[in-house]
Amino acid sequence: MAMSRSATAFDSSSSIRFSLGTLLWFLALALPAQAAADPDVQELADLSLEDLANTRVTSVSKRSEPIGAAAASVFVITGESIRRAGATTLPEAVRLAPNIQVARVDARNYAVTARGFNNAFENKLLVLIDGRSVYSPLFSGVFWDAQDVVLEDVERIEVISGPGATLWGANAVNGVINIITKAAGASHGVLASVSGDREHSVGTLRHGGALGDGGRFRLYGKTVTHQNVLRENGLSHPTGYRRAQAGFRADWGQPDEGLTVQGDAYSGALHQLGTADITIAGANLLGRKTLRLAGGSEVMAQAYWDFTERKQPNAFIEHLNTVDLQFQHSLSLAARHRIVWGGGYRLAMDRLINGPFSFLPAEKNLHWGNVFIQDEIDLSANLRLIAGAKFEHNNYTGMEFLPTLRLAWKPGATSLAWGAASRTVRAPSRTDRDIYSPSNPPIVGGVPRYGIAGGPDFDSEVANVLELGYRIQATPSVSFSATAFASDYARLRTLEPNPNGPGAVFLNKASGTARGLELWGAWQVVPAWRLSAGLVSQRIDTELAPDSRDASGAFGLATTDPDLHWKLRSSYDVASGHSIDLMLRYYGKLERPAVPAYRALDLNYIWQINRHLELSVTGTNLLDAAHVEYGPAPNRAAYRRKVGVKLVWRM
Amino acid sequence: MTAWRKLVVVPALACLSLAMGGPARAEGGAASEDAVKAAYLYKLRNYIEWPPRARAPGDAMTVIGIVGADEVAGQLQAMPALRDPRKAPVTVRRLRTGDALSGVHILYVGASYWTRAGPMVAQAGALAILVVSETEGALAEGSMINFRLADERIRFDIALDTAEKAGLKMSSQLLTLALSVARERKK
Repeated sequence: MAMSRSATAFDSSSSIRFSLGTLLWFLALALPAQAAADPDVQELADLSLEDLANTRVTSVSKRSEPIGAAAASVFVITGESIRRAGATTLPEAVRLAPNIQVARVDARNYAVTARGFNNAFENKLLVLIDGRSVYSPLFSGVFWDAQDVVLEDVERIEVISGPGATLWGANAVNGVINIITKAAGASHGVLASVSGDREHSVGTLRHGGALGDGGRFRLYGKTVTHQNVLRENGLSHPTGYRRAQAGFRADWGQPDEGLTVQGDAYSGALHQLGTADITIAGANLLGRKTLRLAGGSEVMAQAYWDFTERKQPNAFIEHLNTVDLQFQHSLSLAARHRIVWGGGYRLAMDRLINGPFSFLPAEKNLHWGNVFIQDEIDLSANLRLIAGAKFEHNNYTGMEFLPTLRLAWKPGATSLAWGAASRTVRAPSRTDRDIYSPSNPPIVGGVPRYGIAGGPDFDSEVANVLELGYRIQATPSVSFSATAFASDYARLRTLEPNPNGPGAVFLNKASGTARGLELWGAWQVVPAWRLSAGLVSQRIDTELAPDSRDASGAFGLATTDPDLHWKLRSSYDVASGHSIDLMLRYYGKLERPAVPAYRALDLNYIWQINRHLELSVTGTNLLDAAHVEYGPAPNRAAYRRKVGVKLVWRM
Repeated sequence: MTAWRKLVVVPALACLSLAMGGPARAEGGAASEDAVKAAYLYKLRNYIEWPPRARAPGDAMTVIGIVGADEVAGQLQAMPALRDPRKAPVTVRRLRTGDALSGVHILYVGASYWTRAGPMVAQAGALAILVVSETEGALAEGSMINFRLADERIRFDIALDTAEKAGLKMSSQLLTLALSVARERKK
């Protein structure tokens, strides 16, 4: 059933452009490596134990991520890949994934999505840092200017394009970004790093050590300063920022049987046009316990508290305290069934002081409760069926049903074909339901005449998604992945004339479709040289209901998504201790506000001077004097060519 | 066939045909996990002290039994240092289910075999054999050193309590390099 429906979807969407050249390029990529040299075990055995432990093993990501494991479109950015790319912010690190769309809005804001609907207030992507959601219930998006980690301590970033609601809940509509930091035992010793370019400087200090009882810990502090960037017209774009953050992580035992406690605290000042600085602050504390029970089943329990404060002059002041509890149990039944079930509860206490527009009521407690179960069934030796469902309750729309059905077929040891059908929703945020503008409306006949009078009848946005994927480790040095998706969106948000009074209200009078193809591959040409590439070809269409009189079309429902974006990367070890990475990306033009297509080339050269010291030089946006990525001309930010330096000292 | 299907199917077929005609395994691939694991196995004897019942003092030869990891065994056997069996410090013995473990000092169990290795691992513990694995969760099931990937490097965790129960001593250098060490709770 799922298969036949998605085949129909393909037939109906043959209009997507895709160049023959690109296809040939991918075929060329799939050619087997020829010049690979024999790894010399003797040479490795002659190394000291420390050096052996520090020897980088190439083309391993496919084995650490078993090829048969995930029947979904998953790309893993390794910590090593971030280091070699020279990324200095979280969104720039996320940009390394081919299946994600990143448009820089200004010095501190980013529009990040997968599979379209990109926007500075993007609201269909879920982002987690070590299991803690950083998705703001205020607008169901992410304040990227408040999220940070020590990039050197990132183990990997899992980027899942497509629905992840059955495991991660409502709002994982178009994708999930899972930022996972290293266990404390993997960040031993002292690390000090400074990086700087014309606009941006980062300083980091981290210390990792052992606790008396077998546990490991690390402590870190980090400061970031970013100057204002320039607008396209040469004037200053006042979106620079300063931020300081500190935190810790402690781990006891193994990943599957142990305890993790971690926390962070930060504060910052963000420039904003025409007002005093926005000030932000936050803190969080998380504990996670994993247990292995007799019989081999595993239990995970996690609790966290998260506080964020955002004082945005001429807008609002928000104090948000979130408490989240989760429980998960994985077990095998009758040899064929691997079951994961669990539940969770989240309470967010939102306290606002309103400015020119209002969130009403200003003080509101939001809650989400869920139970889920997923069963992975071995139908035969190489065929698996994964069926799962989550029931999630929220205080705006009540119960939401989030099911998925996936089929994974493993024709051989190194390849996997899969298909999936999922339903997912974006539950309302405070912006959809509770926003009133202006704060002091004229009152006529006892009725306040709001311009925007909330969205009391706004319902969840819904997406039904079909996916087909294929992944193969064609030879030890060549891997390739392809995913085709067809998503149908219903009840998308529009701003309509208020049927029950003056002004306008948010309603769900639009629908949409997204069709596309995600391709990526890697080729270890020789041990010292790796090529990788990724491409997304997509088409996002939205349509208003016949009775819609949408007034938000000025912002567009989905008019800032490129039809095509791709990236190419070359990672080359010039000599022992010297490496150079080149990253070229292309983004097609955006429709409204119109943004021209652009290409950007970044370069990072790393010189490992000795065991303790590493120097890197980064060139960003090397192809032209400046390019723009988002927003209307001529006041949008433009990103100029720049050169940066980074020094890392490890002890 | 529509253009769309072609897009998915053509590269997939190309890859498949390569996979079938290509080399069967990682021989000659990029510097591999298996090579690094083989190097570890070769060196481990310098960081372990066996009890006299398992190894007579002065006995210089270390026997590494390998099951379920043919690539690692092949890598080890290809080392020049192992070519002359009279002078080699290490011998590799490829094991199968039911093989006796007497005389073995290090038992390496590949990931593909771990779920079936229970009886072999239990026997190894009784014979003071160092059990090394590459399977998540193996330390809870009798392994003493377990390899895992961390930051694109092969690192390892140690179950010191299990090793000590078997009468093995591990050097502090080895313990320092471990990502984690499970010790016996004394208090």
